[in-house]
Amino acid sequence: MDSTAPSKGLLPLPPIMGDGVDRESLISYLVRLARAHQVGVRQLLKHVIWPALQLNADSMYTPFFRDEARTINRVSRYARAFADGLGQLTAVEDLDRLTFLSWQGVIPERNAGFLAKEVRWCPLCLAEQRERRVDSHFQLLWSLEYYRACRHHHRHLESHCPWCGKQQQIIPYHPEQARCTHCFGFLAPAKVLAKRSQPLAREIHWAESLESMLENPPIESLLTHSHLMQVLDMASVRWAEGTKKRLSLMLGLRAHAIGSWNYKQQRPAFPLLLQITEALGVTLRGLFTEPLPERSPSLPPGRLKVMSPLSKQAMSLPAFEATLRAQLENPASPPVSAILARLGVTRGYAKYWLPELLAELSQKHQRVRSQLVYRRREEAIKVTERVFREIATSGNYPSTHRMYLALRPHGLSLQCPHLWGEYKAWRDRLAAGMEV
Amino acid sequence: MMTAYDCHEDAPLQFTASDATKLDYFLQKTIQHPYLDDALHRVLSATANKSHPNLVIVTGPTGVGKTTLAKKLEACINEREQAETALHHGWRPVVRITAATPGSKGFNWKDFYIRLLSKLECTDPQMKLPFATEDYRFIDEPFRPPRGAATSGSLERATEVAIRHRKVRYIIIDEANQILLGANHRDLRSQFEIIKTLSAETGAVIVLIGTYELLTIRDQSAQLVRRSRIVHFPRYDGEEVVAKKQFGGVLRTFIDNMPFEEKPSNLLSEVDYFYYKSAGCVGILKKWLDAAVEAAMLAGASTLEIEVLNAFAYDNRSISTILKETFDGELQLQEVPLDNIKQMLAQHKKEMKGGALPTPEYLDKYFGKSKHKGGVGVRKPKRDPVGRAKAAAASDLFSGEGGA
Repeated sequence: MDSTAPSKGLLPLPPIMGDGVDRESLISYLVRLARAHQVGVRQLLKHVIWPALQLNADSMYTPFFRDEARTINRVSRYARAFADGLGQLTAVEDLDRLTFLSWQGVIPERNAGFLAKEVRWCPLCLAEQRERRVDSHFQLLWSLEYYRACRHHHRHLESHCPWCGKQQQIIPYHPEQARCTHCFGFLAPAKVLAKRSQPLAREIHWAESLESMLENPPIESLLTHSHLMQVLDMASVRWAEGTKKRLSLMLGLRAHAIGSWNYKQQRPAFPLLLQITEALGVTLRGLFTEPLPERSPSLPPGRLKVMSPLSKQAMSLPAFEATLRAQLENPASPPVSAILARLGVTRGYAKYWLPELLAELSQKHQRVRSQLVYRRREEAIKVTERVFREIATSGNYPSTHRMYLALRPHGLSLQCPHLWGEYKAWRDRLAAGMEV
Repeated sequence: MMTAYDCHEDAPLQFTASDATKLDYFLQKTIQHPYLDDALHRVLSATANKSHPNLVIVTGPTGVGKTTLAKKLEACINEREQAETALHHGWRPVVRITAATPGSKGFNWKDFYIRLLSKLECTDPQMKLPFATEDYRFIDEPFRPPRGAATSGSLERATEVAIRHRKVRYIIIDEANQILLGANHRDLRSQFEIIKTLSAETGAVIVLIGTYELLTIRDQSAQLVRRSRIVHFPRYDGEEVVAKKQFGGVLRTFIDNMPFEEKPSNLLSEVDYFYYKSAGCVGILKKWLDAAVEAAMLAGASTLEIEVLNAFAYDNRSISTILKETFDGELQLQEVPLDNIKQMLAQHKKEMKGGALPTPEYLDKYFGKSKHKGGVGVRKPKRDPVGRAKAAAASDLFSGEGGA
């Protein structure tokens, strides 16, 4: 070759780990990667990163950017796919540390109350980054629902642009996170820095507990469901005479919460896990690494809100999957939206859990539709040909006007491109004296 | 026996797959001859230390083997940095690129940056933004970012960032004389300055490999001269006994590697002929032998005959053109005696200490020739009337009849 071979990968941008606690999120890393390449973030995602992730190409559409993209920071399949895919493209290791994948043993994948719905940031942190002339980046902790105050600066996180008042897009177009994704104003101008806010003590306590999740060294081997159940067993022995129901009530949970987690091998919703640590007076990390405190649990003021993500779903996931597979065998092949409406399941839920199956159903429906359209087109051509021949044999010239009038009762028209093409061919043959 | 001249006849030629493999082997064969080895060693020495220059210019006559040197240099650097790249998979210690011929009057830097970026990362150049995000770091107010295609400046910044991230330490630009094509005297310096800036911003050593035209760098500025080093890759000079012997060794090696059952060892007695017809340049010799060997193999010959070689030899006029350029370059590279420098210093000291006004020649030399014919402050002699004309002009002035 006459020069070095073209590169097949992206630049090996090192992630910003800070002291571990203020490490950046994987979405932030993605934006900085686009910045290093001087390309738009969504362009990079669409043309370079997504093809390398081995995810369904149809999944990257507007709802992904609007909502699902925030799960890149979580414990979901997007987090795993992006961490692995970006690691291969950039040859940088341990990108999964920019997510909460290490906690997937105790945090369920379908988990309301874990990630914040909107993008949030600390203006003072952004201003400091600008002064230090480092790449602006968003911390992983800022993406959590219950991380509401920055412990460094003792103020609430912001979620609206100080210039236009809008919330930020999860994946921006331009590779600059410290600027609004709508009006491109700086998110930490002086007028915002001057504003004071006093976080509640409970919010500071939550922040401290959440920060403990990212402390070093990693404790992935301890973050398992069985270990959590062991800790709760020990707690029930110490304070509730070995009764899980009593311990549940002491911790402010429903009576059979701990029992059902144990029996069904379910992981507790994150707000409940946080509530347990509040009641016990330990941090999230401390729940798995430190011995239980001496004093008995004390109920924290007000339960943490747990929103069920399945409140509108009428059936369980396995039953839903079986129903969809049965639809694949159905020769009628109705549209996907009709199937989901009949089953009482939202499209977002279906696309998140069964994207491949949904894509198969959609493709099957499109195939059937294409075949139907083809058959109808053939019939229309036959009818048009018959009309053309009738006019030609009756001694009249089959002009476009005569054809329009003759085709109207059949609901056809030469405006259709395929009919017009056939008509022209017949007309030329007639003019050449050939048989139509 | 069939010769190359029989190729156009209808007789079927038996060129098997095995023959094709042997031919490919010979065509791709390069040898490490003494001058190549020496030039490679000097470039590696110049670039290995921390006190390396920003630019290393490798120059030599056309066809001497500079591209082969570039490839070997890249391979050597990759081997030397293997331990580092094994630890950091994303690092790339060396990048080699060929400077493309400018389609327009001047060298196309935008195209150069795009091709260099393609060696470093896989994003399409059409995706590049027309600005660097650093440009608006300290702007608070909302604004609309510019749209459009990437500019040369933004591509330059993107290239610098990519080079830093990939930890590129050496950039080898082959055919670097193309950068100077179409540039006038004033632009020559800016072309070199662009390359020097790229090196300074990224910390990478840039190795420019090209013909003797690259020596114009010495005429540009003292700063460029200070930050660069020139390595000469010469031809074999037949007037020197050792060089002639080495050239003979090169020819023998090529003959030994020819894909014929019967090696044409009789050609070794014609070393002078090969030397004159290749101007002592191994690259020209190899290209010549490649063409002759391929023709002979396609014709089914069992060895290489002198007639086939003659058919593919360069004509004498072409060789004389090559030699003329080579001689010019070699003259430019000839060292000046130390006495010249002493003389310059002594002259300067005399002029400075003497307190005399600088002579016009001295001023012209340092400040450039003045555009004003008479010089600043010197009136045009024709404008002032003298003698009777002057007196007449003075009286006219007061008589009110109109002065001169």
